[in-house]
Amino acid sequence: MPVTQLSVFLDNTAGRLAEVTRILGERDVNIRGFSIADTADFGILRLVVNDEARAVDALRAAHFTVHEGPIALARVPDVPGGLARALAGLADRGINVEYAYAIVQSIIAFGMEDLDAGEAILRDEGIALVSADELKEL
Amino acid sequence: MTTNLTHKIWAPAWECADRGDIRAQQLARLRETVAYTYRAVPHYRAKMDAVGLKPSDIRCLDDIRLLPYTTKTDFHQTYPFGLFAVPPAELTRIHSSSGTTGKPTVVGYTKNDLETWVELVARMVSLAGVVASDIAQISFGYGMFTGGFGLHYGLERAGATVVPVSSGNTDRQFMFMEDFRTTVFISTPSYAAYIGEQARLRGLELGKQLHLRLGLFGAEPWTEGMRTRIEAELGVSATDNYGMSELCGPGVSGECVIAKDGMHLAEDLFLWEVIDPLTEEPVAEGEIGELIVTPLWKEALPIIRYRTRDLTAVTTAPCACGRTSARMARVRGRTDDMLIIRGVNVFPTQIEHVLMETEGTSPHYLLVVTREGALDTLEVWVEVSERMFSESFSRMTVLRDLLTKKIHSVLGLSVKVKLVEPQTLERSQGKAKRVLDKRNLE
Repeated sequence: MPVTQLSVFLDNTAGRLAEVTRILGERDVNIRGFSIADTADFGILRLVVNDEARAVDALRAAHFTVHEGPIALARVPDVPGGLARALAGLADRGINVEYAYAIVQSIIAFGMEDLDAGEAILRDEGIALVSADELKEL
Repeated sequence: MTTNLTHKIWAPAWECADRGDIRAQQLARLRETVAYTYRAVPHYRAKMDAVGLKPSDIRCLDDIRLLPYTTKTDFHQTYPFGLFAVPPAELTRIHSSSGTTGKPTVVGYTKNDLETWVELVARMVSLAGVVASDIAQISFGYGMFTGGFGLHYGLERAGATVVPVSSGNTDRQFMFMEDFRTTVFISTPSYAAYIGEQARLRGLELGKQLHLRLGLFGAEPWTEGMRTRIEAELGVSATDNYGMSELCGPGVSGECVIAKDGMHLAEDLFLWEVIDPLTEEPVAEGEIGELIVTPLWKEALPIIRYRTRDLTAVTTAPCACGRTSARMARVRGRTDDMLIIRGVNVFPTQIEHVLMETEGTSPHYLLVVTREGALDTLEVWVEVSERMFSESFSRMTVLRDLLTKKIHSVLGLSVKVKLVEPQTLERSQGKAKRVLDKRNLE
């Protein structure tokens, strides 16, 4: 049950991140988590929001390049070694985690090439996954 | 009746002359031209006086470099007749070229000028292989544009039968082509490409409905790829030719149908130079630079050192056709579009080519030139379209690096590719802005 993550292309000029958050705020979109990967020239902003369709509309209207892609949201136990156990499970089965970041309620967003296998493994490890419907209510 | 298709050299005395004789003729005519222009055109006299130059200072061909250039601006400043050496009433004909901004460029001819021009075009069409038995259909627009009338009288002089159909009306073009058994087609290369496409779509067959054997295509730049396509579709041997209204119109140079290896310049009547457009120093023979032309024959509108803004290379090596005249390469582009970075010539079209052939890139780009210390830096800004955007950071980096590498191999120059958000780059009506040269702003 992957959920949709939005990736937004940003060039590294002042105020672009502020602009994205302003636009989303004005459209009543709640950001539940985000991460930024950047080089000197450009960055990719990854977002988990409560209303992805509305967010995409708003950003595209403002001429942002937006990509929608699946990620896994996992309720990794908030205890010492919790994340380590989840990652070890994935690594043991040869699943490559491309990126990961924490969102609200210590939920971890995982970007993985083989998402289905990854989710299955996380479940095997006893980790609860967050569905798209649940995400709206977080 | 047997058709004699032997290629004819129209003016062998000059086209095949000893190069020393050509230079002697050029010098004699240059001195006359400069003296005449100084005497008859106050605008030129003022320009020469401003640099303290007298006509008698021109003693050898290299002295031409002492003379000020003529540019489009001179035409604008003196619109309509300020550069003319004779009063308008004494002209036999007036033409003009469309001005992309403001007023058109006005050119005029005396009776003698028209006679020389007709001979020049007869020479040019003979280079292209036209002979007296040909039926030539002219699809250039007639009117103020020099192309239609220029080719018309030159082809008549060469003995061809002229069909002045003018531009447009494709149905009528094909009807006359078939019914008159037209053998020579004259148009812009882009119209020829369109006609070729239409001929194919309409199922016209070479030798049945189409009897063309030659195509003379000029008035805009085109490529070898286009030549190959047009030749196959229309069954012609296609040649390029060059001219511009400021110099007279068509007839400045044209390819020979034998070698198709550069356009033979009518050197007894035009003195050419090729310069680096920035330093204004002459480039070595065969190197690309801006073509500067001084007509050596004009009564009504003598022009000294016209900056054509066209980029080409000229060679004086002998041609397989037997002519000794210098040949200019296909026009590579316009100086207005060219950038010189660390001594390397860069055209926006080269970058465009790389972007077009690279999967997933957008055609929206901007070349930004900056100078850090003494070093010029070229940045290529490419808009990131949704199609090329991926959430994967590494894939974006790979794409950027791939573009950097490809552009480097095409230009021989390392550039910095910068991915930018869509709509970052200025959009303009029609012509896109492709270059931002910040070096001039410092």
